[in-house]
Amino acid sequence: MATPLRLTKSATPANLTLFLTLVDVLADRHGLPDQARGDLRLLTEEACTNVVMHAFPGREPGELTLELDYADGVASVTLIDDGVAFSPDDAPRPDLGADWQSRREGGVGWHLIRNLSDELAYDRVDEKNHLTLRKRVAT
Amino acid sequence: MRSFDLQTRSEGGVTVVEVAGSVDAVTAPRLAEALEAALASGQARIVVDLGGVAYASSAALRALLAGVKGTRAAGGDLRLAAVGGEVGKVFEMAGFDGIVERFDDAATAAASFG
Repeated sequence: MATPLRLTKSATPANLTLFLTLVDVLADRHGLPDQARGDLRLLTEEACTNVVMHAFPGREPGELTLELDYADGVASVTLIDDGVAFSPDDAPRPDLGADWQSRREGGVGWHLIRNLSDELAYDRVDEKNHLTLRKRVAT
Repeated sequence: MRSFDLQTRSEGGVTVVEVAGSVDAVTAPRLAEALEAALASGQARIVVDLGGVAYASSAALRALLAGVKGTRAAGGDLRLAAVGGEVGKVFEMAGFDGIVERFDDAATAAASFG
């Protein structure tokens, strides 16, 4: 059984590409089909971007650890950061029925995360956010 | 590493922004800049051709929504062309279909401005 892939970097926009590259490594390792690769990339990007953009308001970015795993047809994406406490329950939900003038430009990321993942788990442990997303992947 | 390319051209008085590659949190700012530049130079009728785009995230949607708001405030519009399957899925999940018009190709989208 392959060990999970793990990368820890400062939560900056410049490091987003590195985090997303880890998805390609996982997909290549397990021969995941293109649609699964795209879905996992989207899940990972949306979750990582939320940390980069919102977890460290008014201070230097802290660390973000991304861990990716795939076993028994399920891919898991785990993010651990030492930013402000933030539960997915607190995430804004976009009004998808709003017209273009009323539509806010944010809030879609969490909506995509909820739609694309089959399981979502969050915990706050030792002043760190732990978010795990799981998705069944057909190979 | 995923590529990103953007070319801007004029077609019958309409600005066509052709995008290729991945439009994500890293590359979407370049799309936003191109749309802002077009608006700043007085071009409020814009088509964004996504025929070469295989991946788009919420960052892409934010850039496009800002473009829609800017063009409509200036009396024009932003319309989309050649939105592919996976990208279309993201648009539908985000409820974008009710906000921006989609066409099969850039020529048809440009012609729709009349």
